[in-house]
Amino acid sequence: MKKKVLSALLSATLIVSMLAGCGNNNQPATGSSTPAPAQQGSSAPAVENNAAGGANVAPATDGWDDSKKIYAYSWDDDFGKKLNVVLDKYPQYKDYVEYVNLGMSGTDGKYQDAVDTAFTSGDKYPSLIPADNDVALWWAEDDDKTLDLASIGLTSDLMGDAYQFSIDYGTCNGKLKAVTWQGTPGSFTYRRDIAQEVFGVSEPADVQALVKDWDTFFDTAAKLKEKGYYIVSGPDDIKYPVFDGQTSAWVTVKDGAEYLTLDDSVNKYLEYSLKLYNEGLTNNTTAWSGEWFANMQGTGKVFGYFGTTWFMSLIYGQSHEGDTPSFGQWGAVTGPCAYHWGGTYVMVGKDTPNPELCAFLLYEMTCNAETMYDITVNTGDFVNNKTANANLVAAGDSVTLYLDGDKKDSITDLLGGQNPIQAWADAAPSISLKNLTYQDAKIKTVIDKAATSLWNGEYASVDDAIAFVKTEVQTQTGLIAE
Amino acid sequence: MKKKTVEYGRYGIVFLVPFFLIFAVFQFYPLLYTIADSFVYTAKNGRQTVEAVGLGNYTNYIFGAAGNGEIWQAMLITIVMWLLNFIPQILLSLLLAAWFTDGQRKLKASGAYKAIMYLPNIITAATIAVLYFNMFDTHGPITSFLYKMNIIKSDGLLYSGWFSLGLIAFIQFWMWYGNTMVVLTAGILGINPSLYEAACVDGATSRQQFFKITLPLLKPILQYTLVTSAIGGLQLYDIPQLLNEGAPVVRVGENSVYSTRTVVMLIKQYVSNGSAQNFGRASAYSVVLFIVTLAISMIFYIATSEKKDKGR
Repeated sequence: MKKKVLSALLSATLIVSMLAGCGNNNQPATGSSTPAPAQQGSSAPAVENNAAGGANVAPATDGWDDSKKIYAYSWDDDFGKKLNVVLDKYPQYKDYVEYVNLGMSGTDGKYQDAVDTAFTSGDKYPSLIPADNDVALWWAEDDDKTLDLASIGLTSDLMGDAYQFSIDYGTCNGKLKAVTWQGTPGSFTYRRDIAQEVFGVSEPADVQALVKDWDTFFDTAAKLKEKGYYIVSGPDDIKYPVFDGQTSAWVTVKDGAEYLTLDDSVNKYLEYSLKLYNEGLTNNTTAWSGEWFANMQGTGKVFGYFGTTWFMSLIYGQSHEGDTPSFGQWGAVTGPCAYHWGGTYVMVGKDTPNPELCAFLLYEMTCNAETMYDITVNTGDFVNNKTANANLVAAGDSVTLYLDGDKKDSITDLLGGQNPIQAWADAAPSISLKNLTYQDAKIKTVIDKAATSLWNGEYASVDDAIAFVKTEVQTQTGLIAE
Repeated sequence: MKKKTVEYGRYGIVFLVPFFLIFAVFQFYPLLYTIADSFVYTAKNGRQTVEAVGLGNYTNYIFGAAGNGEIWQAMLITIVMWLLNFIPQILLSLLLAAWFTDGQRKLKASGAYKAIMYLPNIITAATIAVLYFNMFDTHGPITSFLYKMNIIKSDGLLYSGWFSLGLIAFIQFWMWYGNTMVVLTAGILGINPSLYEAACVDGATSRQQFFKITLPLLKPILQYTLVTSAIGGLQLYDIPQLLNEGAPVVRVGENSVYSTRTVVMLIKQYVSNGSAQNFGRASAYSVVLFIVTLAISMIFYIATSEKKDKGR
């Protein structure tokens, strides 16, 4: 009997040990500084505006010591590349900025936890905090963590060249809390050789006519299918453009309760993707799968991808593969509708030791047309500055965009000599982030599941699939479905 | 009792201390913490909220409408998945173990076979899930083959819920039958050979030997296999998560069911960061899983050991 009790106890221990878990894993910050020799005052361009205390005045470094050093946090190296463009212009600040690359996913909660931990503990106070537009409001709406940018001189009159959506998004309760250097307008990136073979045209203006709205898009898809090509890689590729056509927010607050209010974009996505699936208009891959990437190669049968500015580096990575590389065979057009995908906003920590430097760096990065022109040329990003973009469009084919500061990987060459800024600039003014809510990411994962089952015939109609989305979102998040 | 010799027993206790210390800190305390957490509402919903709700998580999410019965749905799926994997697994393992230990048959290179059968268990589950995903993906080799041979009519094999469920059960079976076989072989080899000799002398056939000697004496080992497999099966997470993330959703009557979502995946859903994060709900589900696991293990344990006692 004793033995029995003992063994029962031991097996209970075993079960218990398997259950244990649910910890809080706050990743310690893994520091990666930007070591660069100080070249004190070697080239400090004169700043024309003389508004006293404005962010556009380069602060003098006289008398600065280590206590004036600021830490810029990020989940990857992207923000650092842009920061380096500014620091290369003003090398006297290199000693006072340290870049902390946490090496994780930017939309993952771990990043939130890591930055929040750095606020309260550790000696590396986060002065510059970049965040994806899915999660940026977490800090932007919190006045205990981030400061009002106007209070450090980054006033709205300096933002004249910015697109309205970025100001709308960065303004919380009437205060400008977050700014961005980038606009992330989407484009439809197509294969020139396939366009030439099937339609006899390959230039962006002609191809835009083939995908100018969704009806034309599906006609074009049918024609491509006859020749053995697919218009997109998988039925879910159209997700971002269709969802961005959203007309109202998916979460609305009435009398203190939160309601799930899906708009027509969800119907449209399910309908269009079902059409793509049923009619065999795609290669039937899942986004981000190996096959999906492989379809970007020269041997791929896929006509195009919906992707935004940063998407170019993904295509770039695949374009040299295979016997007949697709490099140089791409072109970018606006596509059936304007949309955006991603976007990083930068905030300033409330207790930063050096607000002048933070303000100036952000001014350079997000307001100064000259610096932002350089950002586009050196990183291939589309900047949030109408003047810089107008200059880039005006420069036409004479400007070459690169993925990296070392100027080896050229986006312009990838696109067969096309300057894609025009396509993006056409879409940028139509971007609206007003309908973003904190539940969107969750709702989208449920829609993904509903879509898969709809394609497989589990649901007789789009409405049945939407009914599932509603119950499931209500179950998971507590939003009240109507 | 008078001490005549050195009491070595108490040194044993000293050696046990580190285990119980670690157990208490890393396992027992978290367990109590989980139970305590299940009485608290800790949703993030944009901002952290902590609020004591008593049995609220249980009445709302487990037995109430707010949970939509998802925990029971996941529990059923998990149990079905385990049964589909365990029944063929134990039968095949038993057969192989009997063959490999059969004194009359003397299979050649049985060591090599055993090693090969054990191999899938050495590879991490994550690798296996990715391997199978790629084989059965829309353009994976197996899907393409079956599609071209007109055996299946759609190349979206993994879009089918019941197929995915079966596939996961198969992967589990394929990963673990070698392990179970090795355990059973060890158990059979532990049986006194003179029993078999005596049976041979009395003219018993292989079949009779298996059912009259091997199986009854193997009961403790079978009991161990059953209980550990049930515990592992109820806590299945890695393979279904990596293969299909709990999808595809299938319709059963009027209900939509996540065909491959196990209980641990459901718990993880509410633990991981995001707008649905709710530690209280996840803790309540954990407690349910704990109770069910304990109950099932106890039932198996008691059911099998009583029979054994009668036999003796």
